Amino acid sequence: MFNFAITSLGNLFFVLSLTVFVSLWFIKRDNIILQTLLLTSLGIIFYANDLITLFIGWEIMSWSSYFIISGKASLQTSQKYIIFNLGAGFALLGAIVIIYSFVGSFLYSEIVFNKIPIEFRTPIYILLLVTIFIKSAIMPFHYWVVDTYEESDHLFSVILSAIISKAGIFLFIVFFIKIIGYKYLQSNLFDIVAWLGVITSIVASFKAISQDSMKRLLAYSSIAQVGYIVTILAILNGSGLEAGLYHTIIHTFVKLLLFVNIASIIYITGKTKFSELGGLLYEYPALFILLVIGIIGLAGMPPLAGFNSKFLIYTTLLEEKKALLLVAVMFSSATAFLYCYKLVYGIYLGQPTHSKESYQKLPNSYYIAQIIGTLILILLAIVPSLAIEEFNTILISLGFKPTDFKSLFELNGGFASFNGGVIMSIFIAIFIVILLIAYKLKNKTRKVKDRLDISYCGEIPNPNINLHYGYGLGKELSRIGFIRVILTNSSKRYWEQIRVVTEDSSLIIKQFYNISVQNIGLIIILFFTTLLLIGVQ
Amino acid sequence: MFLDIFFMIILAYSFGFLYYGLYRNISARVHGRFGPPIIQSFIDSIKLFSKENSTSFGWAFYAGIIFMATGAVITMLFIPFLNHSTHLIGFSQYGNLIVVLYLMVLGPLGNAIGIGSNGNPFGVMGVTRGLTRLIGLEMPFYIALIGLMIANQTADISTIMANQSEIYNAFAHPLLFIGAFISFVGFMGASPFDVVGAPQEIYSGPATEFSGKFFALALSQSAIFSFTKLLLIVNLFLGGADNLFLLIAKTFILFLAVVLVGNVYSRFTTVGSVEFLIKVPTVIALVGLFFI
Repeated sequence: MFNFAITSLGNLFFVLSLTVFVSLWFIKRDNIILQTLLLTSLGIIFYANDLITLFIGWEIMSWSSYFIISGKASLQTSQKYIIFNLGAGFALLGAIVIIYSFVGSFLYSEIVFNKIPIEFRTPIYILLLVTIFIKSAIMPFHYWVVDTYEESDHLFSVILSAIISKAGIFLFIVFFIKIIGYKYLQSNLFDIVAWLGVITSIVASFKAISQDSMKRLLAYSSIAQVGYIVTILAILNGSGLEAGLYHTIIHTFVKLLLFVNIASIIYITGKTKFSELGGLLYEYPALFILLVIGIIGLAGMPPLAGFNSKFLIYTTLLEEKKALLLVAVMFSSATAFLYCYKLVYGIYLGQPTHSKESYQKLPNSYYIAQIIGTLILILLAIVPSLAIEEFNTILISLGFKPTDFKSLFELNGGFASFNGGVIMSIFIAIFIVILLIAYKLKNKTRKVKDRLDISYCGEIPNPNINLHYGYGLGKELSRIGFIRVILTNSSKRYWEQIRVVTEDSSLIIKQFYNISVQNIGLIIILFFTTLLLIGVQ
Repeated sequence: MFLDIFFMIILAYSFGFLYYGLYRNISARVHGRFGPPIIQSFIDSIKLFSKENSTSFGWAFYAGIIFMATGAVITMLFIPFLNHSTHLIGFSQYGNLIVVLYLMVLGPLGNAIGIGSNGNPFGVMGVTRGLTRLIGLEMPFYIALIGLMIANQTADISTIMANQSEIYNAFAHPLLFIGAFISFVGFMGASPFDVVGAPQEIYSGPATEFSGKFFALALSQSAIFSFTKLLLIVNLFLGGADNLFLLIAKTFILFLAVVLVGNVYSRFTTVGSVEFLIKVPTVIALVGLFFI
């Protein structure tokens, strides 16, 4: 009944999922049965070898995650989550039914896309894209994401961001590369997909900057990062696939690190907003350093591995001469610096806004997941082609040419290459030399004991004045025309309209369920009229 | 190799300060003053290294500024100083233009962390202004550089330099150059995009709270970074240089252009500069990109 196959692609996604789940289980084992069910469903999806197995896995994933979310989130948010995900499930089922009706088999290997008439191909693409867009939160289907991430358990948000959003990416690769094949795809449609991905990134980056809640900021950041992956996969070539897979790995570990970091802060302080935090640097230096590593990874700066995937995305777009798309991706990437800084400033830097008496002691288990994320970011920074070795087996299995590389330290983007090992070594060497110079200059230093001992226009700041107003950075962006348009508009009103229309139309359908002679007569007349029309045709 | 790198750092440090001295001098003459001696900034930096730190806010304050200096030096080492040469090319063979663009952001991140750690709200105000301005500055700059990479079919800086033997990119792709140059004026911290670090705005600028050796380190990295940025534009648009004399001449001409523009135009607000950068140089660079 169920058909499974061990593939290198499935292995990659499952190992990523397993690592995230296990590193979180070190911290807390809440809802362990549902979480195991969720992990199993992911295994079913990643190792499925036929469409029905894939669909069953998909549904188990949606429902098990819904039950976990509904345990913590409000009714409205949980309903929003399940309605969107059911929508994704229906769209997937629709695509599967159309494929089966022409091909006559659910097995991946027996699906010959040639058998599907051309006029039915676009509906299949659109149904699949809707499924992928909902799961990977591409605008305007991202509406469920932010509230769900915010209201879920702090550690479950890691799974939503790092893993569940990647299920959409996996579906993209399985359907459009493995089952259908790039040669059948219409490049015009996928140009639109690529632009939707990058527009999602830009809009989500600006939205992220304007958030006061740490989890909402990271939720928007996840939307932006997954947007890059969709964009680069929609380029429809081997380099794009490689870049997309690389960014998937990086994003998974960066989000594991960042979400667990803010979960630690929430555990310690009980606060979730930047406006209620600040100045935690000297109390929790290890958490601060881990977050800085996380934001360097998220912003994609060298010497850490976040740069590797950005580099591959850029070189792929350069090779394909997609200049405008590249400009948009780089613009979104530049915007990300602002929210990355807000994340570190709002929590650890600036002035404290609160009393530290009610702080809880953080269990050491919270560090394990963050250290795993950090080690991966450092390891892949030094030997970037370690991941390429793995991707080459996936590329070969999907019929692409593998990527050549001279050494594991070098990352070859085709258009250009760089040596990650050299960059990291030079960075460390220069940092140490400058540190030694600064340390050896033993001139007198007046250590500041009071945090309020600062230059403040010649005055002594009053302890009651809120000096942490820097957490609001990014608010002034709303004075810039095009950014104001992004910040003041939301997809909420469109979904609200859809809700109203659905509610009204359901009233009409409801009429049929009211048992009255008049309604039964109406149903009979409608039934026979339909039959008559079909018969005439 | 090490001698080469040492010489690169010394060269960037010395000329960075020399150009800063010239900037103060030329600006003074434009304003009808005499200005300080040209080497005054150099002397100031050496002197500051031996001065007492008026305040220190703990290890992150130190680490931030050291991170910033590391960012400036590492960026410089990935840009070749000379064309067709085995000397003074640093580690450029291990990187490319995309690496350099991203290394350039490391310094500002270190700066922002150092400033944030001192808890002064005015410091972070400067950082916010800087990052907001960066959104505008990077657009035309990136478009121009993307245009160059596509036109040359490479991201290798040495190859882009070598490809300009017949005609400089500034003339071959003038619209890209204009877009990049306007943005470059901002990257150099010159007016009209100098709201972040302008002397009148210093109290709410990134330099708030820095003193003694940390301020000296901040000034030194600024000198090295300024020279690095000049070097990058010379390499990409003005054909690079075959010898040190040409390198100094070209960087000086470019620097002079920035100083003169800076002295003519009045300062934009942060929002104003982003709006201008998005409306004018970005559009110019986009038109330039269209012709590639």
